[in-house]
Amino acid sequence: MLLRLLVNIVFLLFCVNAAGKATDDIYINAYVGVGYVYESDNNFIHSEKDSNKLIESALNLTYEYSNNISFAGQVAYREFGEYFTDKTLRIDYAKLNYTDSFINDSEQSLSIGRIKIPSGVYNSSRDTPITRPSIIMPQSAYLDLFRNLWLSTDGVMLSSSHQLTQGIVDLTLGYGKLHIDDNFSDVTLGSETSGDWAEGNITVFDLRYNSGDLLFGLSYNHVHPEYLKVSSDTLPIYPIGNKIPSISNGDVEVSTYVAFIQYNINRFEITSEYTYRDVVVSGYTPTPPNSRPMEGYYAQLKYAATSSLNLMLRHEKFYRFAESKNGLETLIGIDPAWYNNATTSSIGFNYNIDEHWSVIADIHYVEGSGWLPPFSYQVPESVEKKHWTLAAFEVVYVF
Amino acid sequence: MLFHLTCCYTANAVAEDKKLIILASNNIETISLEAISNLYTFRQKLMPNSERVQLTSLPLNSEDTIGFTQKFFNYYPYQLKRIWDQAIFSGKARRPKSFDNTEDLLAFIKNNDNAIGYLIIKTSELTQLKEMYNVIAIIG
Repeated sequence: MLLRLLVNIVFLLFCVNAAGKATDDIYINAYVGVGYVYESDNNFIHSEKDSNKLIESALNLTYEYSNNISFAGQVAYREFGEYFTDKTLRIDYAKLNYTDSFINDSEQSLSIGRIKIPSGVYNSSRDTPITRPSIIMPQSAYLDLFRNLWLSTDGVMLSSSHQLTQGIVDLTLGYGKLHIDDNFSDVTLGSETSGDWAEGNITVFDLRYNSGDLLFGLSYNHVHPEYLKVSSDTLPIYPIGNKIPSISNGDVEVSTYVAFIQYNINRFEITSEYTYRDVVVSGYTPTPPNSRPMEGYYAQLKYAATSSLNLMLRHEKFYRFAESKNGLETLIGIDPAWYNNATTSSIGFNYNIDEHWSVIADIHYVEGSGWLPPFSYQVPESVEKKHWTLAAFEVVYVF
Repeated sequence: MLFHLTCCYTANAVAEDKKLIILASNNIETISLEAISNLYTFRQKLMPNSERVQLTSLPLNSEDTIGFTQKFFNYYPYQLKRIWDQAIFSGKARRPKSFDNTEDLLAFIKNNDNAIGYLIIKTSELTQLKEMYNVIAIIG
């Protein structure tokens, strides 16, 4: 814990010192965010209620080597409770870009290296406090449990932007290897596993139209990481306290389909996304492969009340088992619907104190526990509450 | 987006006797307002000559930036900054080259290729500025 705090402080100081410096060809930017997360019940960010702080920071550098070739890289760190804390400082992206125009009224770009994954409206900047819609992202679309799978990929991405009479159509195709933080095991399998996630592959497709006022599109990606067990692994199962003493290797295969739209009119920004995930879990136990389609959608309204104050209102629904929205039959009975679903209403604001400082806060009223970690098993009603509240506050400094 | 350019300008930031002007480097003969809008929102990175654009900006709370963002995008400056930050922190673009004063911005545009920028100026200064710099659009 002390070491982690020390790393945080050194990294934050480095960000403050380095950011804002630039030569004609090198551009450096950074942000540092410090905040607090409150949860009335349940275990969204941790198993024990002693870790509520939020620290986020990133430092990026862009170097323009020539008219067509550039390099962009970013190191980042996030401490967000117990479950969503990065184990180490991580390279968020580090890529070489080649951009040119091979067809009239269009631009083509080839990126090689570690690349952010475009998906929906916010995925590629979901960790950036000043650009996401709220500190707690809409879990119906941006499930923090699976955040590790969709942050970035080591591979290649090709995109082509075509100008229409009004607006631009942008197509992106990508393929690469995943890199998965150790925390992924904790949130999906529980804390009593210590095997490794082999770095599976990801395939990326993203098509979007953007006219400035109107953005809409479709995203698809497919990931397939494999889990390599160690002999001491145990898997918690329901009822709470029971365990499968020995598990085998396993894998999870997730195909994600996202349809999204965002419309700006006057001071209003209306955003909606629909996400469908086909999740197939194989191995771990002697049971046959288990297909679990998930579904989620939200509608969000943002309003620029003044030049500095933005207000946010959102309503969302999430189904952990899209084919069993009214409850799930298990070996020992029927889980009520709220065990696997979640309906969330959120309000929030973002206040820009000046060009560098922002204050962000949001509150989320949740009915259901569908998106709580650990994800592979559930706990009884005496532990998990149907109605609960999340609140988050953050102060951010951006260079 | 061009709708805002033609009929919707009600910003208080630019007084009656002032104009929003868009400047470009001398190697740029013409560029559409749509392209300028695309470049400043990072939907487009290359100029019409297929070379990388050198975007410039002035402080967010300056009269120039307030007038530019309201007139061009019907945004507040912070809304445009959010678009910039979204692209910058996901590795898609770099921040426009920022200047604290108009003199430095004008010098940069004059001395570099493929640069564009914006200014709010008094109408009485327009003729002199056009003689010295490549003014490609006058709005308001």
